[in-house]
Amino acid sequence: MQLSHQKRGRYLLVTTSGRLDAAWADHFSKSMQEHIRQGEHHLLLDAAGMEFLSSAGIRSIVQLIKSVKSVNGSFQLVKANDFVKQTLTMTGFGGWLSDDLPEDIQELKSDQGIEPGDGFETFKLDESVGLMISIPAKWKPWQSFREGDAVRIRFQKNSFALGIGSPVQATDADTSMMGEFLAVAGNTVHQPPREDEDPDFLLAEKEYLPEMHCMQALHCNGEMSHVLRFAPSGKKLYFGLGEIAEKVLTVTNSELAAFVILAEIDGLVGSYIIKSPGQIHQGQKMEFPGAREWLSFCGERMYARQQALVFGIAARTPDDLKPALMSASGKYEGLFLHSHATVFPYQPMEAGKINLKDATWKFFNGSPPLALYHLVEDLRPLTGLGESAFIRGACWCAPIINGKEDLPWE
Amino acid sequence: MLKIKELCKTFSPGTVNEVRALRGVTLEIQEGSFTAVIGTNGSGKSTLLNAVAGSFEADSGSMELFGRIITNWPEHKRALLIGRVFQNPFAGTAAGMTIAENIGMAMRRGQRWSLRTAITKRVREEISDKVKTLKMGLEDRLDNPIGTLSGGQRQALTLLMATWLKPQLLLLDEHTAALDPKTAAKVAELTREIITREKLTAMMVTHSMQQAVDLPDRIIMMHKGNIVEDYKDEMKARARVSDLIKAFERVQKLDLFDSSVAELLEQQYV
Repeated sequence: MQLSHQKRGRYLLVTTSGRLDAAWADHFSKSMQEHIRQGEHHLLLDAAGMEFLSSAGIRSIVQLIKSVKSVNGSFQLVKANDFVKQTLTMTGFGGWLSDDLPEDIQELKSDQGIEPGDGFETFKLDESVGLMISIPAKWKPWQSFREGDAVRIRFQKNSFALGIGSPVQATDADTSMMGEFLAVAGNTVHQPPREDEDPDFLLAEKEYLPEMHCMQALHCNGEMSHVLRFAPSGKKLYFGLGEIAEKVLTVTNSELAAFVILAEIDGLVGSYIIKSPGQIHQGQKMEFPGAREWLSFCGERMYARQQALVFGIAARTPDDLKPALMSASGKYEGLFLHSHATVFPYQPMEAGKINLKDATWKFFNGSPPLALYHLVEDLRPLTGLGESAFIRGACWCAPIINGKEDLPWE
Repeated sequence: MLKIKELCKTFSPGTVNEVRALRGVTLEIQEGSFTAVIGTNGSGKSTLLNAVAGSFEADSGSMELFGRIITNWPEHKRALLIGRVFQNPFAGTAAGMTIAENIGMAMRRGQRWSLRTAITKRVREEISDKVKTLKMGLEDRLDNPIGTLSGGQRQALTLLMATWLKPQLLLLDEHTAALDPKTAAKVAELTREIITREKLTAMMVTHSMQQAVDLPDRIIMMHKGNIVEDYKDEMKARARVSDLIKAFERVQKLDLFDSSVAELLEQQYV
C-alpha cells in the first residue's frame, strides 16, 4: 500500500493505492495518527486507487475516526471503487463514503509555505478577569519543618496551585509524604516522595474538592484571560518554557502572571523530591552528595512526544526584587519562574480557542499521570540539558491582579 | 553456602587503564538458591563470577564455600567444588574428542586417572541415558567429535558435564548469550530443569532481563563494582522486567546527578 498526502486548505487529502488489509492496517493507522498529531484534524481519504479493504482495514479506519472525532475534526472517504463501496455499505459504514471532494476544498495546495509570525496565535477570553495569588505556606528548601507548620488547603474549581504537600487523610498531616504537587482547575496531582512511585491524583468531581496539607504553596484563584495556541511553523520546531512565559507576560500586559500549558512535550528538564522534606527537623544544607538522597534529577530530557500539563507563575522584576519562591531565569533577563509539570500519555487536542476545563479534563479522566516535575533550567556549559520545551499545544494565562501592597511577598 | 566478604579487585592499578572492577562486594548465597547477577556493561558481574571461580586472585576480602575458606585456593582446586558454563560454547569442551570422551572426563573430575579403558559399556549406557534427557537426539552421536556439534548442542552438553558430579556451586556466565533465541530458550529451560532436579546452588550472569525474572529465585543488580539492588523472597516474586529496567534507569540517573547538578538545584529549588 502506498500513501501520499497533500494539504488542501483546512483539509489533508491522503491518496491511497493498493490493499488496506491486515498487512497494511498498522502502517496506515500509524501514518494517519501522525497526521493528527501534527494538527491535521480534517482528513480526506482518496480511495480511487484502493483495491481491497478488509475488516482489519475497516477497524483501522474506525480507530482513526474515533481520534478525529475526539478533536472535533472530520473524516471522509472519497472516490472509492465499487468493491470498496459495496464492502463499506454492507458492513454498515456507508456513511463514510462520498463521491466528491467537499465543496469548500481549495483547488490548489495551500498552507504549505512558512506561516508568518512567531508560531503563536492569541485568543482573548475575557480581558477584565485575572487571578488573585496567595502564599499560605512558605517553607523554603531546606529549612527545618515542624508538623504544625503545614497548612490545609482546599482547592476550588477555579484554583490553580503548585507547591509541596501531602494529600489530606484521616489522621493529621503526614510529614513523611510531603512531595511536589500541582492543581489545575481544582484537580490535583501529587508526587509521593519516592523514587519509583507514580504520581497520585485527586479530581474535583461533583461535591468533592481536593485537599492538601501544604508546607509550601503558591495558590491562585480566578479565571484565565487569554489562551495562546502554538505550533511549529517554518524553522521553528519547539517552544521553550521561558519563551512561553515571556509571551504570557506580554499578552497579559503585566509583570506578574500565571499560566497553564497543555502541550506535546519536546523534552522536560526537572527534578522531584524523593525524601519528604517534612522530615527535616534541623536546618540542613543540601550539599553533594547528600542532595542525591533528597532529590531525583531527570539526567536527560524526558518524556518527548507525551503530553505535559504545566502550572507556573512568571514575574518580570529587576534583579534586586526577587519575588518569594521564584527563581531567576538565566536565559531571559529579569524573568522569574516557578513551575511544576505533570506528564500524561499523549492524546490529540482540539484546534483553536479551547476551554481549559474541558481540555484538561480529557487528560485527568484518561490514563493516569506518568510523572511530576519541578521544572529546572539547566544552563551548565556542555552538559546542560537546557530548559523544558514543547512542540504544540495551548497556554491559558491571566495577569495576577493583587494590588502592589497586597502581594504576598515577604 | 557461599559467603563473600568485602571483595575488592582492581585491574591495572596505578595506570591510566585502572579499573576498579569490584569495590567491596559482600554477598551471601544460601544453599540451594539460584541467583541471577545483572548489571550494566563493566559493572563487575563477570569479574565477580571469575573471582569466585578463582580465575584471578582478589586484592582483598574473603570467600567461603560451605565452611571452607577458598580465598587463596588456586583455580584448579576450586574446580573440584565449582562447575562452570561459559558464554562461548567452544569453551568448556574439548573439540577434538567425542561426546562420550568429553563426558567421561567430566565424570571423573577430581579423581585419579589410570590407563584403563575409560568408556566401558556400563559407563556408555549411563552417558546415553543422561544425554537422552537433553532431548536433542545426541545419544545417537556419542562417538562424534564434539567440535562437529552446533553451539546450542555444545552448550547443553557443557551444562550437563558441569553438573554431572553435583558441584557445590554452579557458575553460569551468560551461557545463553551466544545462542540463537530459540536455542537460548531451550538451554535456559534445561538450566532450570537441572538446577531444580539436582537442587544445585547456582549463580548466573545474564543480560536477559526476562531470564533474570523467569529462572532464578533471587536477582542481584551490580553497578560500578557494587551490588545496588537485591531482589529476594517476596520482592523477587513481585519483580517484573519493567521493575528491573526502572532500577537500571534509576542507577544511571544517579550517575548523572553530580556536584554541578547539586549546585543547579540549590539555586533553583525554591
